[in-house]
Amino acid sequence: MRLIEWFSEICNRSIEISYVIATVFLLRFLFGKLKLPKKYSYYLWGIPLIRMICPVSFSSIFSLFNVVWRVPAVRIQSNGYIPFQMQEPLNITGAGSGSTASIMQVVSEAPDHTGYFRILLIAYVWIIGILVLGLYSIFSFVRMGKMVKTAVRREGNVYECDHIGSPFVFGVVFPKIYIPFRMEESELRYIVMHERFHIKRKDHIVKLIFFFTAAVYWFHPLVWLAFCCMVRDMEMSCDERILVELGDDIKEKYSMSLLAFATNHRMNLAGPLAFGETSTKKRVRNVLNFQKPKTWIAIAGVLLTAAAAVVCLTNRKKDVTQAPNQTEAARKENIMDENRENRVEKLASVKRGEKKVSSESSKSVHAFLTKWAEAFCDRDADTIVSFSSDIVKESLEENEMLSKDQGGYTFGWSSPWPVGEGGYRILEEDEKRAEILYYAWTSDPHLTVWRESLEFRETGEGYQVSGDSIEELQEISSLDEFFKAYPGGVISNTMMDYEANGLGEFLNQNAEGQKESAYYGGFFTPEWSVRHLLNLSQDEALVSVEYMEDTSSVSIQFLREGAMISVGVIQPYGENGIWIPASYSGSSNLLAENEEEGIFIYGLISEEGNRDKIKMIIGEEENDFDCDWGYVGHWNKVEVYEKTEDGLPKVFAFTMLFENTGTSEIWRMFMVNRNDSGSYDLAEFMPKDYMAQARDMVEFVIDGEGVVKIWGNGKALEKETIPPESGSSVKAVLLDNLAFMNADESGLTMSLAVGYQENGKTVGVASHPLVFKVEYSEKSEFVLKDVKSDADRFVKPWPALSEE
Amino acid sequence: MEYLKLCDSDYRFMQVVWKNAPVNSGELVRLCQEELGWKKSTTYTTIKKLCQKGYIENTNATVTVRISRERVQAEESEYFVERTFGGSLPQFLAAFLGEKTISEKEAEKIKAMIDEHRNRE
Repeated sequence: MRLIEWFSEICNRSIEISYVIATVFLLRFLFGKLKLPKKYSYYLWGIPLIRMICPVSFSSIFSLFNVVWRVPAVRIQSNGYIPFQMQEPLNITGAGSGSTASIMQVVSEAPDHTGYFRILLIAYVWIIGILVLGLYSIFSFVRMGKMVKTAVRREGNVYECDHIGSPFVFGVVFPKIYIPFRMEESELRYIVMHERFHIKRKDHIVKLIFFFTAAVYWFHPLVWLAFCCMVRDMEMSCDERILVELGDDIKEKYSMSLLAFATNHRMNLAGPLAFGETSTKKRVRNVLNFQKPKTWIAIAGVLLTAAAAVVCLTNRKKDVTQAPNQTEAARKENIMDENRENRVEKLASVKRGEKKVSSESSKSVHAFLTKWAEAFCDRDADTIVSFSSDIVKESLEENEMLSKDQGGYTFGWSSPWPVGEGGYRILEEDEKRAEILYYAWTSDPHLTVWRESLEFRETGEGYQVSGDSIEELQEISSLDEFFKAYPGGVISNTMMDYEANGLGEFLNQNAEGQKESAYYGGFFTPEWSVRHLLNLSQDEALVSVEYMEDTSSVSIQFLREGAMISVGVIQPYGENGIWIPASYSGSSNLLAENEEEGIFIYGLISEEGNRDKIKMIIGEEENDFDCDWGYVGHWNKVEVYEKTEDGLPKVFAFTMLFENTGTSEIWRMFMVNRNDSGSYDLAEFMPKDYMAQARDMVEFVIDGEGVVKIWGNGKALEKETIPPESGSSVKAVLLDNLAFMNADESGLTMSLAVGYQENGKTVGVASHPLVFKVEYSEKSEFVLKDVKSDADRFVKPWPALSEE
Repeated sequence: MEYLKLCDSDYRFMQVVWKNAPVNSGELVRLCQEELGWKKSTTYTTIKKLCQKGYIENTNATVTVRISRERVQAEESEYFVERTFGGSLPQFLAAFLGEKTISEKEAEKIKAMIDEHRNRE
């Protein structure tokens, strides 16, 4: 996996590098026209070199990447799904243009692993290339070392050496100058001077570093071209230096030496030579035409090189054209908030039973999906092909699902394959997308679930599938995968119900006769049977399955994420029969609790398999609420804020983990209030409702010395110094952005986004996590009471100014 | 009279030997280090090589001359270095850029260019 990540990084960078090298060539051409000394051209090559090596760079509004393009990303995902998205190419005009043209957009590809292995293979080829070049270099180095061993010292670090045609520097730490025997004394003077200058300037090391960097990008012709031109510029700048030192008089003589080295009379067996005709001629011409640079030219050279470095070494400042007043950090937070709100809205609409699809079109969509799924199960290639866009056809062919021969197309393979009635289940659908489950099986009584995500569009004649990806869920190792295969965690009365689908009976008969076999014997233990029949990963380090006798269930734990789900188990063929998985009927999907107060909140799964109800047990009372819930296995304490006269909890709040992607967790907070009639009201706590209160409590003050103080409760909470370049006219503004992060006994943690503005323009954004103590007021709402800084979560301001 | 031929570095070594022979091999290592900048191993390798060629003899750690100075001439060695991190580009890069050995004709052209420049001044 690491290898592929490195490879994709290098691929992405290669594209950037191309532009940088192209820019350098352009500038180099310009420098040539301006007759700038060659050393500036040589320095220019430092830019692509740094760009190739350095992992990070700074963003600036002067970046080349602002104007020219947005780097098309080649994203390689871990599941082998490889969308090569080339979006937003060459947006030359830059400013104000949000329109984008896609060169190529593969909507989606089917998910089998051939694509992944292909990338892996290419990555191996890449690594092997690097190794070959590395070995080649070591070999050459060793050979060279042998060659110069018998070189005879002439003076200092200058050695005369047999078998060489022209002078050079060899060695890294203690470099020596090697010259051929029998050089003229007068020649020797400037030749040695030339090589000494190389050493002084550390050219031999630059060359080595550049070469090994190029070896990493060995597949990139421009990089090699850059290397060659860099070497040429290096030599020419050295030539020029000698002319500056020794005067114009030696021009002809120096040129003759260069020519002599190139046509070398000593040379008999040389293969393709390094100093080919072009470079010798160019070098000679450069020497002959050289004039001592004037001061203003030197200044121009320095300035142009520096400008080039700023333009090429910095990254695109994010979204300068689209949202000049909004920095990346703020934008991200907004998106997060929007996503959350969208989801909550979506959930709410589902709860109300609204369907957005009009009945007429939904009918035809359903008919189309049914036809598709049936054709899939029947392996009806003609129908599949007629419904598929070219891209989908290609991706199906790539996955070897679809193949073409003389007789036309064939689709799928004989086994395992979803067959017959009940081979599929259409899960969700709207006008553009659908999720379909397929139950694939071999001749054995065992089912595996495939989940297909379809994207389609309406054409004049009907519908066409424009994107298709299929996931085989046969090594389930996360809750997410579990719910993908078994929506809502429901087993009973689905195709996976081995009692209802009839396969259980077969299994039972087979197992009865072979109780001793390792395979069939396993069905007599609920843990083994559930793991096997629900296609959970066999790896004990990823999934643990434990039988709970008292609730006749197994508890499945996905150890990587710490999530848990309960699945019921039944023994439908008698006490000595096999165990098979069933829907869980109890209520152990704990979401939050407070043992002392006797409050337990569980997630319930509806008959349709939706996780949209929660059960709240308060002492002896049970209350059900319509409320979507997400993860189990992580729970917090229920905080009681107020009690009734009878000692019953009156106002309390709890949080639950709604989504856990592994990298981000989304928690939701709910508030419960016991009304006069004795029933409970449930309301979700939304951070934005508390924005006004937070604004009143927190103040940002910037003093004359550029120190920002964050005030709350009449005391300074945090202190931050504004970077000096920002000037003293900066103002701090609380942005309309408050992200809810956590709730526990210490209070609510909310992240305040603060924008630093200068003349109405945002120059920086900081995220300040502050912990608010909350109290429940008489008006049935939470009040922020006290605030303190959460230093652990503090994100330093000015991210937009200092680094990416 | 026909001369025996040695490459330059061997010839330089022989000069040291002629000047000092007969000489103890340890002493020769020191002399070579001083005059040629050679390492011990380089000197010993060369002693061995020239013994085999019959120029010198090494018995009981004493090096003696077998062939007189008058019979030997230094000859320029053939040029066959594959240049790597020395003077210029690795070979495959030169090939990659299509840079070939400079031709007689091309050399003439450059020569003419230099001459022209000389005459102009």
